[in-house]
Amino acid sequence: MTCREFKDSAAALTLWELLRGQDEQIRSHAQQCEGCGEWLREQRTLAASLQMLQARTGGLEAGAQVERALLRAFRQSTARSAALAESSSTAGLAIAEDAALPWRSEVVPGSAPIALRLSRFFEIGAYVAVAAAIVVGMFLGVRLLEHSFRTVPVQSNTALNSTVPLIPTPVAAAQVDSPKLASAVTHKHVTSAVRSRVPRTATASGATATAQPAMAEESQPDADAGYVALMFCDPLSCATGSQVVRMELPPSVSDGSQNSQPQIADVVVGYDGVVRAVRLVN
Amino acid sequence: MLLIDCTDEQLLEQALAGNEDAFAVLYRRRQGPIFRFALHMSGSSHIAEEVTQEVFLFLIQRGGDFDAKRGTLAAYLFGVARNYVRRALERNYPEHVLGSPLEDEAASLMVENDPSEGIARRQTSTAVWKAVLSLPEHYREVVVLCDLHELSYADAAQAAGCAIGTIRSRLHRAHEMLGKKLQHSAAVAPGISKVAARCIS
Repeated sequence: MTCREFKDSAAALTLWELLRGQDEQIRSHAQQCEGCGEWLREQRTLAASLQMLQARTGGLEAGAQVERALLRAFRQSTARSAALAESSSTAGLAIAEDAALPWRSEVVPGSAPIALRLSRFFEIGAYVAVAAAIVVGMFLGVRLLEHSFRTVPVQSNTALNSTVPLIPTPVAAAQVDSPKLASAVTHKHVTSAVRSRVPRTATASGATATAQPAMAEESQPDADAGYVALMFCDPLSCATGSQVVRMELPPSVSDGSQNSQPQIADVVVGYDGVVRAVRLVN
Repeated sequence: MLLIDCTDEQLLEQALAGNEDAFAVLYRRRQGPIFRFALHMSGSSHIAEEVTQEVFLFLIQRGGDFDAKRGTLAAYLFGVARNYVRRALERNYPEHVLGSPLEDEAASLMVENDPSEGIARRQTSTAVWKAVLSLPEHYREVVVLCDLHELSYADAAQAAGCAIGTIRSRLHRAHEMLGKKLQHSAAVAPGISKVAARCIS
């Protein structure tokens, strides 16, 4: 037997089997090999020490109160099972009895089933409360967003009522200042600026613009098209009513061409009588 | 057939059917090893009693989970006890780290069978137990299961929830560590090695 085989064989045995020395091969090799013999002696010394500890603690057992408590628990468990089998009403009583088990707190002061159940109840309640708060928060957030999206057109409609030619671009204004260039101004430059503040409906007699959101969505492209902003306006001073007046312009004013036909134009007039924007109808 | 002649598995079966006497016999048969296992692992009689009670409560409530094909009931109970000991040690961790109260209790618990035995033997046992308690948990449990409770490697593997090879390697390493600790103790108190030598002679 080699030293490796000795170690393998010894490892397969428990300490007690080594101590008893029943394996002849191991014993003979330990006698021949000094290193393995020393190792075996150390193991036997260790086994003897452990054996001493084992002998000194061998008689120790759990106290009698543990057995009493366990037997009581066994009886209650059996009674509960029987009650559960009988009917659901009696099962409720058994569960109530179980909740007040005296044996558990008697031996293990640290454990309290009722307290555990209460803490579990509060834990679940806390989870439900947090979930409800998240749902309410999301609902309110969505409502807030919807409200903010909804109020934007309403504000512009209000502005329509009150008319505020707000911010025409300087280029557009400069171009429109010259009557000759007025007709050359493309719709692209000013349509967006005028769209939000030109009335939805304009009558030939200069009716006051009214904000009708539903109708505005349909008629807005036609109603707003072609307006040219003529001035800058401070939002504070221009936040009042305005009117659209359809008027006839002399040919010389309109475009300076040789056309002798009069020009029809829609003019947005502010509360101060100043023209905010103009649109050539024909 | 008397209850006392029944196997553990038969007693458990009867206990689960509601036979209180069968449960009592099973408890009296197995509570000692479980108590001592918890005591050897923790060094505290309070923890050992608590673990013993929890193990048999577990058996009352979930004894039906035991599968005889996977091993013996004794190994199963040691496995349950191992888990409860771990929990108890985690709960009492600060106290356990301090060490001395538990170890002193461990020393005081040892039974003095023969008052004429010398002080050296008592010192040896105390030193061995302290050395066992100072081992890391994985190594301590295999020493307690295999060396102090004489479980087979297979039963120890079932109780510890690992392979037999793991038990062997852990035990080998644990013996090396214990040997070193006891040599150190012997250097401090020379009586230990002499007593141990006398035991095997």
